[in-house]
Amino acid sequence: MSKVSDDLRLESTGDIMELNLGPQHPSTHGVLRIKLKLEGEVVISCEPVIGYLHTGIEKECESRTYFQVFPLIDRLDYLSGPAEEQVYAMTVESLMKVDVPERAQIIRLIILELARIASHLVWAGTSALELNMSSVYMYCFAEREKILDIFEGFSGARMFPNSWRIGGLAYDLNPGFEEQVRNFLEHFPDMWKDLDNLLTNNYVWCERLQGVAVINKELCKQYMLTGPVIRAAGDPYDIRKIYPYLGYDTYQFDIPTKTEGDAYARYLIRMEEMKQSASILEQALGRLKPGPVITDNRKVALPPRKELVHSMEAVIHQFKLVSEGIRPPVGDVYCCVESARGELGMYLVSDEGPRPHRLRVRSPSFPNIEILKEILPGHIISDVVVAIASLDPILGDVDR
Amino acid sequence: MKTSEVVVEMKSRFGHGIIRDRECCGQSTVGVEKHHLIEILSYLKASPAGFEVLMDLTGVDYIEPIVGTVVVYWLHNPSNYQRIRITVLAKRDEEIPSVVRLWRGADWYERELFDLFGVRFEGHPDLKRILMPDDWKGHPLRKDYPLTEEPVAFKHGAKPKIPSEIIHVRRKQKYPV
Amino acid sequence: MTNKRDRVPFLVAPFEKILNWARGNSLWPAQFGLACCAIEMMSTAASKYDIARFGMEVFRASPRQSDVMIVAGRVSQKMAPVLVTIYEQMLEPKWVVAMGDCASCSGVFNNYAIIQGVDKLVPVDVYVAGCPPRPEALLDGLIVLQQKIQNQPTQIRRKGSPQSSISSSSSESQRDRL
Repeated sequence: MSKVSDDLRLESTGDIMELNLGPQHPSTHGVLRIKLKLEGEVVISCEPVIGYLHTGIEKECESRTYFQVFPLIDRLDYLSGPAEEQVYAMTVESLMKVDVPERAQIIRLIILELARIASHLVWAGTSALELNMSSVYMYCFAEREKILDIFEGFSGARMFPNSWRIGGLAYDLNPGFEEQVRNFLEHFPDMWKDLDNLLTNNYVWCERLQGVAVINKELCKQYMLTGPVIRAAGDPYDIRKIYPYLGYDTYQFDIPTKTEGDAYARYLIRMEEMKQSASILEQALGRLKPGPVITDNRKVALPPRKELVHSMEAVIHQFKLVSEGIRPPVGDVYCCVESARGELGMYLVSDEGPRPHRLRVRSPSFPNIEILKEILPGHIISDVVVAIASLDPILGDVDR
Repeated sequence: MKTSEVVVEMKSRFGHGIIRDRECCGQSTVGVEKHHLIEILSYLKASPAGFEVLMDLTGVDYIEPIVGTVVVYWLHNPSNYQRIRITVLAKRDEEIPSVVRLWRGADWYERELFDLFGVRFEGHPDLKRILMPDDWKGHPLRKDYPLTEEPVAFKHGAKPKIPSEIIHVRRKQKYPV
Repeated sequence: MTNKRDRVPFLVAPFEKILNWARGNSLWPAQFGLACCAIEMMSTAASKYDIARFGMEVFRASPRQSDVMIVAGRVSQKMAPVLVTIYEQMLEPKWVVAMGDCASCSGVFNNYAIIQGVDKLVPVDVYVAGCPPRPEALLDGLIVLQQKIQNQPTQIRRKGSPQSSISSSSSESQRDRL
């Protein structure tokens, strides 16, 4: 049910009602407010209002040293915290020209792909919950708990690992990590099949999602949309293939695309992406070899504690790093990764001080909400919920 | 066309409008005059340059050596995936032309710049605050706006410095853009 | 020190206990998930850390049908009036749980945009620490709230008794009324 049929239009009386889909709402995926103007059930115009979660993270990052920024930016896109850490670490590493050892790259990739699967599971669960299918929500969150257990074993925290450092990782894998991931990958295809059986050919799901919120390539260009939205419109735009990082160009995986550009196409793409992530994980696990997890460059990374006993230089490096931090050279750089929502980028301007001069987060969800004012008019009000859900916005990223 | 070729072409075409051009970490940045901004961006958007997508629109604030905000346009070419950065300086209380007629999506980005930096855009359909409450005074991301932390209460009358007091010590700010 | 006026009348004492027990074990939370803590709240409501065994799986969208507001996430300047409006729309008796560091004391963020602790806006009964708190921590906080409800000396007061007019904290005086 896409644009409303002529019968419904004929019934309208011409009165316009203003409805406020307020910031506190069960179905707006966060604190998003939409001012709707309705004629009967048809949306005439809408104005999204954001800012209810504005945290001032960008200003706060200008008052923190480069190490202290990690826990702040983690909490921006709170469903895929590792992606934020990766893009920040990548930005500083490319400005300072620091190399990351191979083992650290593979571990980072494993955690990123696990976070992508977790994020898509939350998306699937909450979208289905909004359409009143609460058993899908239970299935998805139960599966996500296994991923959070893996994160907890590795870093101690469920959602925000906070273990990225400039030049690598803070610590190595815990014993039992590989076994946990292999266990998860063994049972994941069955769970994926369950989800597929529940939703893909479900009559109610198809009727509610097909034809809703169609976004074509031209709209994507005007509104700088990325991620599953642009892939559903037909453009195979994925940062992992175009500007590869962490060695993604050496892995075999496909980029699913569709041409219809509606909510159902985006759903199919996200399901397929979960499968592709699982296959990338299998390949990555096979490549793990023993080695260092952080760079040797002592101007950037803390020395290992055993060295402090017999090396004076290690003590001096440790002192300088802990008291002063790092000082990247003057310059500016933009780096991006493919998060679960699209192109997540960071623009760092450095003035050779111990704190960033400006850290700008290019969030993928900001244009996703902006486009609502263009695609929602013409739909009926129950499609508003489906449209927002299919775009998968995270308000922490939008408001920063 | 690759970015380096585009920069050379731009300099020959708009020589008077281009202030600086530098490269850092493989990314080119071209600083332009604000009177030529729309002309240059339209040229870049059309083929053969082909930077059809505006990926990001943001600002960087300075209080020395110049008091102003540098507005940064990060353009993307969807056919050969080249990118280029265009910057333009807006001093306090200066207006810059809006790019909403080139990219409709720039609407909210410009509103965010107005909200957080105070940069005004002429030709913008509806310039109002987007992230802060509507009656907020001041523009938070400016360098002369304090972080406004709540000081932590310590025992025995201790009053250590709050972080923003430590930072806003005059040091030489380099001006990279 | 209880004087004669404060003691609950003899005949209704068991009734008060039963009322408190019923209130504590069927709390209906109002959905107020703002940021990352909301995801952990959703995990608590999911099947691994089941909140339904405490009677709280019904997250009401409307504040008029709920008892406890779990403020999960950071409260920004624009959201503060909304939070107070939702709190005022809830009916007595009501409780507030500040979930997470950002709601209790603004956590990692100390700047112009975040209200430094939700207790500057509404009276809070239980603070749950963590960033985000584990689902078990949230359940522990809710159990503490249940115990607080069980032990609260409330309900039957004779009109004009001094206890009902003195308020040590604003939430106490609200709970004194039936």
